[in-house]
Amino acid sequence: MTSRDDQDRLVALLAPYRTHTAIAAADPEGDVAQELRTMIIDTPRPGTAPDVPQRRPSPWRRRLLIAVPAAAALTAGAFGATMLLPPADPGTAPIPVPVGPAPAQALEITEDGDYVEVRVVDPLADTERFTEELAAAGYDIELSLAPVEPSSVGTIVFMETGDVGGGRSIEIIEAPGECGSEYGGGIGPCDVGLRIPEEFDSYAHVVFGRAATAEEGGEGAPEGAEGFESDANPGDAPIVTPEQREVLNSLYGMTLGEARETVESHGWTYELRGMFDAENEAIEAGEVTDDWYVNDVATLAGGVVLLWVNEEDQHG
Amino acid sequence: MARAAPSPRSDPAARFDALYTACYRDILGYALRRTSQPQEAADVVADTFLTAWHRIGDVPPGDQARPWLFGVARRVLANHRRGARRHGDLAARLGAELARHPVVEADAATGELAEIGRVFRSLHDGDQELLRLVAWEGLDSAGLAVALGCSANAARIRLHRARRRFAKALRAAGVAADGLPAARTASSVTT
Repeated sequence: MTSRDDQDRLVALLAPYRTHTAIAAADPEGDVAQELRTMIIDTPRPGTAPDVPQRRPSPWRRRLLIAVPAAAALTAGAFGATMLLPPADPGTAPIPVPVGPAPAQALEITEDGDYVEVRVVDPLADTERFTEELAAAGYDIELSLAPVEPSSVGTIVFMETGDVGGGRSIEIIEAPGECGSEYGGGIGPCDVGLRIPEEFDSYAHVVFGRAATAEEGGEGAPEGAEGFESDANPGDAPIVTPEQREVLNSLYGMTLGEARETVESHGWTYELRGMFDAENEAIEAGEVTDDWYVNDVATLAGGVVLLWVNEEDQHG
Repeated sequence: MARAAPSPRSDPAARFDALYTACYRDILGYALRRTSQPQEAADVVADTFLTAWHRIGDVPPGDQARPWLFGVARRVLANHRRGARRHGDLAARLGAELARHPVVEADAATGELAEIGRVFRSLHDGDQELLRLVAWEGLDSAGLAVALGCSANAARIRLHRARRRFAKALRAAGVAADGLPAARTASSVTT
């Protein structure tokens, strides 16, 4: 009774249904549906949206490449920073933005027709400075940058916009290059700022991922740096030190029993996830056995290792 | 239900029209089956197609367009449940029309079907939605992959696991489906 067909039949029986035939609402050619269609199609499409198929990351995984050379940040001991756009052509040099003392402004805010364009000038500025400068420009936008893993640099790790009533919303400014990673929404053009409609009066919260300084656990991190064991970098992409990365990489293909031993020997804790479980749902330890395989690994702040496990070794 | 997706690609408005005509009823059904308030269902439909209009260049060709829309609808619904975007102004008339037709919860029935509903709702939300997408929306593994944004292989694995957990939960509850009526056809749900 639990064959596939039986299951589908049972689930189909659970579907709610309406007691009357809602012809007017259900007919795509009916008045109600056509009115909605007209209202939608009268809504201006984002000006930069292409009309041809193109790989595009999820809005929550947009990219902004902001690389912070760890050495410069350390030696300056302050906010010396460089933003780099990857070269349009792999053999050419990146486009540098001046390295030096902290800029007078954290953001570059310029006007372009009936849009305002915002680019981050000082990736290490306090979040309050971004928000203050956007507020001074008349926008209720909370913008921040969080240190993330190299594979997540240039990724928006959080984005939320309020209701714009069918009007224009915030767009992302793109620049030629190859940003992101195959596992973080795909490799594609770099997004380097926000393009905000002049009339935008809603709320937005945007968090860009940026490269971590050595102090935060990025490249050049001192031995024993806290990395993802720290609670200071909450979010879904905490920093992992090179030492920690080496251990985490070794978990791929291990049996769950081996992985558990390794994780615990470093004083970390772990949570189990179903393989390729996009919903990020935890599975209970009792649902799996120690001979299952680790197929993917991720981290959460506070020294938590997420292990995606499967009966088969599929990590490839 | 599983109509072919629209093909014109050169004119965004023509492409959207074809998509809207082909998939409107399916998206409306999707929304109605997952919401309790008519206005919420109307908002999900409006926001799903508004997103499709704004991203018409991203809509995959052929048969993938329909599951792509289900994927958008899933995210729209999740956003609505977090209290995020709403376009009540767009969907006011649709919401009012839907409100004239009350919803009957099938699993509000008594007996075996009610127990099956209880077991089903005990599954993880993700498992429930996978099984619904197959049984209610008629998606296969390839369609699930598009809707969920993963590979077809990953979709098959996830579906296999969801089916196994559902079967296990049914066994644990001692549920037998013998004697239950045949399922309504999906097309009868919203029309």
